[in-house]
Amino acid sequence: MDDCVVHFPEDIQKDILLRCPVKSLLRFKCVSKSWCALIKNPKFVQQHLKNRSPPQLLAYTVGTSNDAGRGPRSITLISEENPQTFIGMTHLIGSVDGLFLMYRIIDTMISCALWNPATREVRSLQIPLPAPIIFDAPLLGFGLDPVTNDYKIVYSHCGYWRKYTAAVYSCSRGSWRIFKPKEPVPFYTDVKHSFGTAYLNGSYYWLLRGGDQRNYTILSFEFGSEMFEEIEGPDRNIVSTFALGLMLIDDSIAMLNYTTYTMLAYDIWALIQPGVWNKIVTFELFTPIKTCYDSSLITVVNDSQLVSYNVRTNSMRYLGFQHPGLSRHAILGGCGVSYYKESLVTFKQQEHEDLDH
Amino acid sequence: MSSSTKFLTLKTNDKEEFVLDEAIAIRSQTIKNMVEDDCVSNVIPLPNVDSKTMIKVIEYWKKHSEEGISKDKLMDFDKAFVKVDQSILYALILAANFLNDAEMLDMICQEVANRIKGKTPEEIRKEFNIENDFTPEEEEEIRNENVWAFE
Repeated sequence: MDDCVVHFPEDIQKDILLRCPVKSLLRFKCVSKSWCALIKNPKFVQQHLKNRSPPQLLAYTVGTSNDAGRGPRSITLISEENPQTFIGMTHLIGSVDGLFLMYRIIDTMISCALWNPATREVRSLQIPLPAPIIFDAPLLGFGLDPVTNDYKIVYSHCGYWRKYTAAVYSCSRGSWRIFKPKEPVPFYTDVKHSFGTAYLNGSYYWLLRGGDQRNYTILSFEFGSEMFEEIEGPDRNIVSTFALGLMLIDDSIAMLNYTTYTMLAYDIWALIQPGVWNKIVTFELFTPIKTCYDSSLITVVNDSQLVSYNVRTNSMRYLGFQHPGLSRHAILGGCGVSYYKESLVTFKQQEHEDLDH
Repeated sequence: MSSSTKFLTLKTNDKEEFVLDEAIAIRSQTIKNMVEDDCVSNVIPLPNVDSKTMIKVIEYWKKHSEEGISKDKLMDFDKAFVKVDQSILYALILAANFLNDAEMLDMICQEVANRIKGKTPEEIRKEFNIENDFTPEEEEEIRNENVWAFE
């Protein structure tokens, strides 16, 4: 019975393929010319991204590439199936449509690489502006320009006398554009790391610590118009020390902060529209927060086990992943984690035949 | 909506007749459209579905129409429902497609995807009756784009 032969209509074949993992689809490109064209079709790629397959865990360590502890540092994935190492890289941001951006700062330069862990596609780049002068986290982000379907990377540099310069890389053009932002970029002294992605609908967001203890602000960059916009934070009573970071929760950009000075509880505020925030939840949690996915914060219990904490239902779920380094940051010798939706998204320079689809 | 239950008769391609509550049968968008357009006489012919497959479809529709059934129970039912021979599964896909029941089609496509995801291109071609229209050189070139995916 099991070697029966059918002939499915093309739309059913497509429905089935939309539900297959990326690795299978990369193999199935060999089946026929029509399957190959379908799997490479940008519309199919976008539809595949919206299927209901469970998120993938990306766990990594940052170490030195040789045992003596010397040599360049590298990001290494903790995965039997997909063991990749990126020599020279130290930080990871994302994901956006299944893509990540790795980077490292050496002296005054920043190297970065756009990366799709599911297809193992990598594009290494050198940012054409100097690294930040006084703070260590760069104002760096990436995302999709939905108008041109082009993935872009943005970096803004604050020079002496608060002179701002920005650079945007377009994957389809394969080049950087350097410009002085017309709109005023707020003064900041630090860029806070986000919990997972801080990209939504064509814009990337950063939480910036202001010039003094109290101030913080949110900055966004729209990839379509290539413009920055400053957005007022949720509550002026939150001092910047207690504003912890941005996240994407239930399809809203949100900010996590300590509720009280005793640091016993957290609030999450969702950005409804520029400058309008809605407090969606207040909760207590005594374990370190690693990242965020959907309605859940990913936290660590017993120093080594990954747990998903759903802030909507107030429920905990073990994720079945253990690592002794989980309670520390990856950059401090610990283990970093991210949950992401695997995707077929490619950032190769667009061939002209693809534009017709 | 009338309070009395209306029944429809569905006739499969092997001339079997199934009498079914209209409220259940209109899980099929195809049947629903026919009912709404008033093209329903006594019997609705289903030229693309055989009786063996229709029994399974009705089993699914009835379970998913049960009042107050829990999500967990439905999930268990669905899991058991798709544990059938490939030939039945493929017949169900074609039936769900013809009857235009998106929910059922979605579930079965997912099951087929789970079954084929580990297969090689050769196995897929054989199973789906697809002709390899690549030259060996072209196929090799595509294979080389992601050699690791074949490991």
